[in-house]
Amino acid sequence: MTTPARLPTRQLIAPDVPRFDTSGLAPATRDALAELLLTLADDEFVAGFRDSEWTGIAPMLEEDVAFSSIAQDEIGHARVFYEMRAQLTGEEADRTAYGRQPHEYRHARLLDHPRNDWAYTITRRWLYDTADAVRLEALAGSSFAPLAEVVAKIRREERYHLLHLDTWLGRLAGHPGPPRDKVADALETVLPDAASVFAPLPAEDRLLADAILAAPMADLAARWRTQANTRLNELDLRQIPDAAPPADGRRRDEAAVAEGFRSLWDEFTSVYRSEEGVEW
Amino acid sequence: MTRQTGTGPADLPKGAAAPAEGRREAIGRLGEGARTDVFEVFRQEKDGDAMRHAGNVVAPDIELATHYAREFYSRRQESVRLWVVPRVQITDLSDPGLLQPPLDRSFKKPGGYVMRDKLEVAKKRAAKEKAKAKGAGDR
Repeated sequence: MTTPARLPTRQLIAPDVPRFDTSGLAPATRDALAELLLTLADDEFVAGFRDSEWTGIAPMLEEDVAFSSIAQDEIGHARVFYEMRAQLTGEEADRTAYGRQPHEYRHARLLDHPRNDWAYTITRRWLYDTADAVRLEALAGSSFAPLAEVVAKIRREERYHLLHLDTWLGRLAGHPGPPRDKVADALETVLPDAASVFAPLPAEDRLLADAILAAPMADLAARWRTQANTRLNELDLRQIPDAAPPADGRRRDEAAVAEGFRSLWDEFTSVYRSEEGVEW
Repeated sequence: MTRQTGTGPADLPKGAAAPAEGRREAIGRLGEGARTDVFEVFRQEKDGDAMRHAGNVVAPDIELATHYAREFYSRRQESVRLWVVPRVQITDLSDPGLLQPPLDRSFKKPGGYVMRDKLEVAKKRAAKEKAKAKGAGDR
């Protein structure tokens, strides 16, 4: 009697994630690509988890459903990037997502800030999504075809997320009194970290040389600032300063762990850590 | 009967009339003066299908109502088109005096004529002619 072969549940790559052959990649390119995918994945994962904190407590039932759905989309994007990275490194996506120590995460500092109130959440998320849109645009023409392919799909969803956030930013900023004041306060707190989405990558030169990334992060930051400032100006809000330093000049892998992230990490890894190595 | 999908929280109770002035609701938590309206959502499942009433959403304006309609009635890719209509724009006609006149109107219905025998004769004739035409064609 033969026992049916058991599928390796944790190594499965979902069907919407492109499979690719890594044998043709130079080791330096492979490592640089893995690092890029990790920053993309961690950004979406942390942003999605932050959004999910609004489930059940959003200002209106409809918004609760909409925002929870956006949270799921973001975590879905993270999954795609983690599973692509898994093909390069051989590390399971679940382990990457839940099994690292806080200092090993590569998300932008902008996402360290706690969710705070609704206006704060909208303001921070708007800054992140406008930056993410510029970054995804630069990756849409990547020489690494599987990345260009998933980025094209992800941009279709992100377009809607940005519309949603922009609608809210306009509503809040256009309403004199507490709504507008809260947006202004939030901007004051998060603006210094906003450009951290474009913090230089450790192997950025390699990504540029291989045309995996279309333009240096610093150029993308400038592009984003121009676009975002146009909208902020329309709303008569504080501008992103030209000299906004990407994560105070530090690379993503050198940035210190913020207290705001440590508590978030405690929560999103709590189930995974409760029984490490177990198959769910 | 329209098929209801999703869970619009402001569904009208069965048989209730849509209020002529629409429903404006104050949501205390959004702050004083915050108002929301009810928007009715219609969806098309695939190209060529009729638009069917899906349900409704509560939102402060048409822009957010459209976002919410998308999340409630198309988040699982179950629609190819949505119509979002402020309930205040819908004219409700449910006056029985206009819709259910008291006098006998059975003569307006396509029933009441005895067709069975005539139909039988017509069918036989049609079959005979068809056979004749076929025979002519064979020759």
